[in-house]
Amino acid sequence: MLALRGASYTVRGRGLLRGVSLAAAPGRILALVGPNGAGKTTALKLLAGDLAPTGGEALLDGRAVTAWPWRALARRRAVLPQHSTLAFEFRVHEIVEMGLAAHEGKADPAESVIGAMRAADVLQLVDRSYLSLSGGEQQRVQLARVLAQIWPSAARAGEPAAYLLLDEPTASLDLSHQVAILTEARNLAARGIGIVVILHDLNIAARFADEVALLDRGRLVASGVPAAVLTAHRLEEVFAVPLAVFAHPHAAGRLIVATV
Amino acid sequence: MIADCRTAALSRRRRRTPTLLLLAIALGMAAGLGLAVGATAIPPATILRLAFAAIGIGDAASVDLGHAMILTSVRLPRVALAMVVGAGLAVAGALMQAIFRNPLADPGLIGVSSGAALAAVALIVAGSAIAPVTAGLAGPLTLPLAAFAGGLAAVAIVFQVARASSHTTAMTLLLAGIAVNALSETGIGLFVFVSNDQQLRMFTFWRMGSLGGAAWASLLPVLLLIGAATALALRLAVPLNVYLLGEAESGHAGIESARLRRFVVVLVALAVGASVATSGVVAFVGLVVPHLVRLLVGPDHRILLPGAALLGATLLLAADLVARTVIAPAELPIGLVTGAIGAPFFIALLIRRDTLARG
Repeated sequence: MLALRGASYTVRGRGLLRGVSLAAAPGRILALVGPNGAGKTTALKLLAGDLAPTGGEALLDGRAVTAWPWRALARRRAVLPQHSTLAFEFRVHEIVEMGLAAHEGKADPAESVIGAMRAADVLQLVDRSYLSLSGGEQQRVQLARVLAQIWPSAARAGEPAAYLLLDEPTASLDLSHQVAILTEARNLAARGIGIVVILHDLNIAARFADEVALLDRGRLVASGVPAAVLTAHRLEEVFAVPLAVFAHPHAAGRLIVATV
Repeated sequence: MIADCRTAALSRRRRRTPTLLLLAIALGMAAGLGLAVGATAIPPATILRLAFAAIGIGDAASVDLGHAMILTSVRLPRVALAMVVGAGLAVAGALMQAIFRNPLADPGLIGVSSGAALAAVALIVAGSAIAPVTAGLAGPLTLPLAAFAGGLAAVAIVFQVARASSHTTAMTLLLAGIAVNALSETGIGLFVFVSNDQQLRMFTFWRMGSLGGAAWASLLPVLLLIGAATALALRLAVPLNVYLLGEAESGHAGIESARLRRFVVVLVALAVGASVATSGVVAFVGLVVPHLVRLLVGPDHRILLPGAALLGATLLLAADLVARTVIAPAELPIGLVTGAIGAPFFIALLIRRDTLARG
């Protein structure tokens, strides 16, 4: 279990996160939603171990995330960056192989690399230069790299569960790639990976997440299954925008529309 | 698909091994040329006979004694020094470019060269007053030792400044390096200002670099320092690849970037400090060689670092050959030769990078 327990993060007197509790479970997708400045990224950074909470706890299997050794933590949780700033002409397979740095020969490199590349649908790019790829392709290569990092945990029964943290993975993608990356997230969850994802699109969150945590100004407003959390009344209050929630015309689930 | 992936990975590897082999052959040829060519030309047959005699095959009785003397006490240490310094500077350059995640970074960025120069000029200018003491301490090694210590001291200050700042990132390290370089240059200016003509001339020539001081006594410590730094750097190849992904990204992948950066800066300080101490400031090798190797084999440090060591050694041998033959019997400072070749090359790289970026 990867979880926040009453976690707060205060920097220079400003409380970016205040007493938030939430948990990512193996095989499930948890979506973090809320307006800008709600504390979604801070919550993700606490779960990733980038920051240590100034109050409360961030725990992986009962142990503070920041107390885990770097490599051991890397084998259990991976983080997909929002965008990368690589200035060197690496080939795609070289980037994906970097995901294995924390394994030191313990994993079968070919199995992890090929499995992760197939899952992220980048096998056909294997010998291309990373810098020559489009933004969407680059992000799929980064996804393959972070998947390779936790592949041994994801691929084998009996290994402790792995967690994947995604910070707005849909931000720079067109509609079909947004759907593709979240469909892939569902497949990964089916393999037993626990996923935490920051999403801005509430409809995508409602469609793909098992659970939603709605944050506002550093506090957890509500969490639970999407239908219970994403109510018109609550969303209007948090986002300060008039909203309507409809039943989806031909699929399960609902549609959330701003009515300005 | 799986087969495609495997063959692609293999094909890259297949291209790499021959490149390293070619670089090694080029190095061997450059070394042979460096041994044979000079004020007294030594026939290749003589070099081979002496080499075989040294490992117990045949005997060197038929070899001209003068040739043997020149070879073992002049040419061999000079060729060895050129190889070691060239390899050390090129590896240090590749490491700096990794640490700053910028292919245009240079080993001088962390203050080691300017710190060494400050210590050298201080010793040359103020040294006459304390000469009896220092000469008794280390004799002809006094200047190299002082320069080495000065280089390390400058890096230590850069470190402390960077650490005192709240964020120890590559950017802080860069800014601290710029500040300490400026301070060192000011100190150098001060000593130059109060120096007499002879001291000024001595410092100027020291700074432009020369491998003419090569001798077995000073060679051994340099060989050990640069050899150890290079060997340790090779073990860091995979973490360095991951480090290039970015500060947060490498941490997420299990590489503690602050710790890696500290360790690499120490390696660079030792390698560059040792080479500046014995050969002065040899410009552009650290900047240009990693670039050339990247063009040949790509940016993977597992192949970039050994490739840079081989090509750096080869190019410095060639530069030294030019330095000591074009105006024989006099010698050009080697820093002039590497600068004259390296600076235009650097400009060409910048233009190429620009056109690539545009289009």
